[in-house]
Amino acid sequence: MRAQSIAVATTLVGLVTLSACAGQSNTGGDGESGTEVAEGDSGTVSFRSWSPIEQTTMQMIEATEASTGAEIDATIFNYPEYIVDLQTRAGSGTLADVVGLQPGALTQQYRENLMPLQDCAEQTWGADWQDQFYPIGLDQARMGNPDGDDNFYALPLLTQTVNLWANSEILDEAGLEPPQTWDELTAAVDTLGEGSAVPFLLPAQDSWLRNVVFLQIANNVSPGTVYEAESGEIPWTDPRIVEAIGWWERLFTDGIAQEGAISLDAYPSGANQFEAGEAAMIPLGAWWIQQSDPSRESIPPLAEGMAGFEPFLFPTIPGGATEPQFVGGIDVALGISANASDPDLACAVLTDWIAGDGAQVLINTFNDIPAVTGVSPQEFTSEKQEEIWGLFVDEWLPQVEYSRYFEDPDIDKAVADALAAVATGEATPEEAAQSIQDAQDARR
Amino acid sequence: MSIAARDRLASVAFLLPTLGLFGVFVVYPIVFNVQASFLDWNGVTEGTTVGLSNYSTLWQDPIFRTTLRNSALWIPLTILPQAAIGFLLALALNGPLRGRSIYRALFFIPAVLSPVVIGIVWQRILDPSTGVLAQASRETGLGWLQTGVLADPQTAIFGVIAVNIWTWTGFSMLFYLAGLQLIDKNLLEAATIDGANPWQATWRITLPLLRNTHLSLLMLGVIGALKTFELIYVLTQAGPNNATQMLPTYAFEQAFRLQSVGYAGAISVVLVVLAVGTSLGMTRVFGSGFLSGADR
Amino acid sequence: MKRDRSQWWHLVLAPLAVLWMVPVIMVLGQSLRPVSQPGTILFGILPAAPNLSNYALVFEQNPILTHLRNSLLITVPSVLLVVMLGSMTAFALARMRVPFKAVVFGFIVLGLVLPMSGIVVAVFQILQTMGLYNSLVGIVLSYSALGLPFAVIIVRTTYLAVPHETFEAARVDGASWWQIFWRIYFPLGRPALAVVVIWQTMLSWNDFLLPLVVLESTNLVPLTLVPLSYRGVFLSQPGALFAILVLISVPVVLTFVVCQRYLVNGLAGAVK
Repeated sequence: MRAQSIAVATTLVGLVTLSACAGQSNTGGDGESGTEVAEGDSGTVSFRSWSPIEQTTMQMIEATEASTGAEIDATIFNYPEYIVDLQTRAGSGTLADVVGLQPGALTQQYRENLMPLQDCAEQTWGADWQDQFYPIGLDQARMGNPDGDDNFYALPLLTQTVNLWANSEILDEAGLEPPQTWDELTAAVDTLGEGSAVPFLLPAQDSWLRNVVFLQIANNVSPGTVYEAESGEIPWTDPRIVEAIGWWERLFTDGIAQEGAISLDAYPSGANQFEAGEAAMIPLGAWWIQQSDPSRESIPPLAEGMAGFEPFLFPTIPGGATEPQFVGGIDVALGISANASDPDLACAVLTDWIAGDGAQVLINTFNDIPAVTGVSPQEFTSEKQEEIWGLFVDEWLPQVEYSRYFEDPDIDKAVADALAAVATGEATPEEAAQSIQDAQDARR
Repeated sequence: MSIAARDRLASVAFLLPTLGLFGVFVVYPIVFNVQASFLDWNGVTEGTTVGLSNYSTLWQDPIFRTTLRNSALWIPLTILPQAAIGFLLALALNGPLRGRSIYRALFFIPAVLSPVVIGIVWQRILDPSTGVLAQASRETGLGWLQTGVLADPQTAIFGVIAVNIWTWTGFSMLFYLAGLQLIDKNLLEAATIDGANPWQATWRITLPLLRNTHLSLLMLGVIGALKTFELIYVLTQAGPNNATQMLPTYAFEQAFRLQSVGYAGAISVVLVVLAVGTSLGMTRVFGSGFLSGADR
Repeated sequence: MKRDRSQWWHLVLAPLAVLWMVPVIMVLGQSLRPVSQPGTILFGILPAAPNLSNYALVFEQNPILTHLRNSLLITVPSVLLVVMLGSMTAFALARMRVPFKAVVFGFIVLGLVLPMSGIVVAVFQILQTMGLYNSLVGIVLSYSALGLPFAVIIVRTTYLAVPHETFEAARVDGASWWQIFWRIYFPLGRPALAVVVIWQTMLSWNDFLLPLVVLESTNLVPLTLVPLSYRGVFLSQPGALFAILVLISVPVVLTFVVCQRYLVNGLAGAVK
C-alpha cells in the first residue's frame, strides 16, 4: 500500500504546488497593474476584434477613456483566430462587451447575442443619425437580416473601396499612366515586363482577394449581375457571369498576373513586395493608405506621404460598362454583446470610436476610410496623401453601390474555389459557374 | 489482501492521475465532437439533430476525398525520408564527432520555429516569380531551380510535404539519438570482433534493436500526418483550390468560416477513428507487445 | 584512430547543415529587415541594411517580461507534471500488472490524436465548468493531458529496454513498487525524459489558441499571443512578427541544447 499512497501524495503535492504557483501569478498580476478589473465590473468595457490594428486601438482607447470615463480592456488579434475566439465566447456567454464584426454571416450568426444598436445611435447622434454614414455601410450592416427585422446588430466603424494601386515611380519611369481599359492594362503589363519589378502582382492565395478582384471584374462586365445570381433571380451560369469568370481566367492565361500568383498571399508577402517597390500594380483597397500612417515607427520611402503610390479603379472590360464600377463596403463593424455589463457605457465607447474623439485618433492614423462623413485626419504629411484621401472620401465611397462581400459563407467559398479552379486550369469558366450554382442549390 | 490484488491496486495508483486528466481533457472533447456530428449547428444558437446526414454528406464531398488522399500521400512520404535522414544524422552525431552538439542543435532548430515563420519563409523561397529559388535560377541559369510547386494543384501537396520533412527531420534525429542510448555497446563490439564491418553492424544489429523506436516514430508520424494543421494554414491556406486540404484544416474551415460546427464534428470524428484504427492496425501487424508493453 | 576516422562526417554534415540553415537564416534576416529600408540581397535571403529596429519595436510595444513570466508559469509546471505522471504511467504499463493494459494504452494514444483547433471549444467549456476560466492552471492541466501520451510512449520504450533481471532482483530484495520506480527506473529514463522535456516544452510554449480563448486578463497572457498583433489581413509588419517569433524560439532552442546532453549516457553502462 505504501507505493500507492506515495504516488497519490506526490501527485497531490504536485498539483497543489502547481495551483499555488499559477494562482499566485493570477493575483500577483492583478496587484501589479492595478487597473485590472474582473469582467462584469461596471466602468470597464472589454473589446475584442481583429481590426483596427493593435497599435491604433491603443491610441483610440486613450482618447476614448478620456472622453467617456470608461476603462477599456482591448485584445486585438488575427482574423482566423478571432473567429474561433468569437464563436467560443458567444457559445459560452463570455462575449466581450464590444466586438468587431464583419457584415453578413458573421454578424447574423451572433444576432441573438448582440444588442440592437439603433437606440444607442439615436440617443447619441439624434433621429437623423443615419445621414452621416456612407450608404453602403448601412446597407451592409443589416445584410442578411431576416425579413421584418430592421435592427442594426452592428454599426460600421471603417469602410473601404476595393481597387487597384500603382507604384507611381515605376509607372512614371516607363512613361505610363494607370491603365483605364483592359487593353491598356495588357499593354502596360507588356511594357513593364521588361523591367525588374513584377508588372501586376496578384496575391491570389487568399480567397477574399480572389473574390474582390472578381467582383470588380464582374461589375465592370455587367453591373450588379452577380448579386442577382446570389439572390437566385438568375442562375450563376448566366452568360454575363461566365464571361466575367472568363476575364478572370485571362489574368492568368494572358500572362497579366505574375507566375505562381495562386500561391502568393496578400499579407504579408504581396503587400510587402509592393511596399518594397518590387511590383508596379496590385489589387488591394482603400486601406493601403494606412502605409503612410504618420504615427508609424518608420515608414518606407515609397509610403512616406503616399509618395510612391496611387489608387486606380479596375480597368473597364471590352463590351462591358463604359465606366469602372465602385465595389466596397465595411472593413470592420462593431457590435455590443446582449450581456454587456454596462450597455450604456459600451454604447458610449462604440459611438465615440465611430464618430467621436476615438474616431479622430483612428482616422489620424489613416487606418482606413471612416464609416461616417466629416471625419478627416487632422494632419496630412503630403499633398498627395491629402489628394488621395479626398478622392476616397468625397468621390469614391459615396458612389459605392456594389458589395465586396457575399451574404452567405458557402457561396463565398464556392466562388473563391471556382476562381481558384479556373486560375489553375482545373475548370473552364462554364464549369466554374456551374459549381457555384451547385453550391447554391445545395443550400436550398 | 493477496499480493496480486495489492499489485493491481498499486498499478491503479500509478495510473490514476494520468487517467483522471485524460477523462477530463481528452474524453470530453471527443464526446463533444461526436455529439456535434449529429447536429446541424453553427456553434452558437441551438442546433437541430440531423442523424447521420453530416456523415452521408461527407461521403459525397470531393474536398473530403482530397483530404483522405492527401493524408495517404503524406504518411509514407514524410515518415520514410524523415526516419532515414534522421537515423543517419543520429548515427553520425552519436559518435565522438567534434562539434556534434552544434550540429544537433542546427538540425533541430526547424522543429522549434513557429509554423507561421516557416510558412512565410518557404512561400518566399518557393515563389516562382520573385522567390529565392526563382532569383537564384535567373542568376545562375539553372532553370530547374525555379519551381511553381505550390501553385500547381497537382504538386502543391508534395511541396508542403517537403517543407514538413525539413521541419521535423531533426525531431526524428533526436528520437533515434534517444533510442541509440538503449543499445548495449557490447553487442556492437562483439559483432566487430566477429569481423562485421560498421555497415553490417548497423544494418544487422542497430536497426533491428531500434524496433521500438521505429514503431513509435511510425505511430507518431501517422498521427502527426493526420493532425497537420498550422503549416498548411500558413503556407498554402489549403489551396490552390483545396489541393492541400487536410482533415484538421477542413474541419477548421467548416467550423469557423462556414459556421458548420456539426459537419466539422463529423470530420473530427473521422480523424479520431482513422488514428485509432491505424494504431490498432499497427498492433495487429507488429504484435500487441508494441502497444501493450507485454513484449518481454 | 577512431576519432580521426569519424571526422570525415564533417564533409557530409557541414554542407548539409548549411543548406538546412538557409530558411533559418532567412528568418533571422527578415527579423533584421528594417521597414524603412526594405531592400534585400543574396536572392532575398538577407536584408540590405540590417538593424535591430524590429526588436526594439517589439520590446517597446509589449511588456515582454510579463509575457515571458506567464509563458514560464505555463510551461515549467506542465513539463514537470508530464515528466512525473508520464514516467509513472509508463512504468505501470511496462512493468506492472494493469487490468486491460491494451485498452488503457489505446485510450492514452487517443490523446495524441486531437488537434488543438478541433478541441478548443470543448476544452474551453470544461475549464469554464471547473472555474478555471482566465486562469493559468487550466491551461497547464490541458497541456499536460495532451502531452502525456507522447511521454508515456517514449518513456515506456526505455523502461522496456531495462533488463528484466534488474527488476526481479529489486523485487526479491523486497523493494516497494514506488522504490523500484523512483530509484531504478526513473533515473534510467533520462535519455527519454530529455526528449519528453523538449517535446512538452515545444507543445506548451508554442500553442496560442488555448490561451487566446481561455485568458481574459492581459497580464496573464503568454508570449505566444504577442505575434498575433503583428500579423493578419490589412496588416503588414512582418519584420516585427519575425522578431518576436525569433525571440520566442530562443528559450526552446536553449532547452534543446541543455537536454541533448542527456542523450549520451548509454543505458547498458548504467545498468551494469
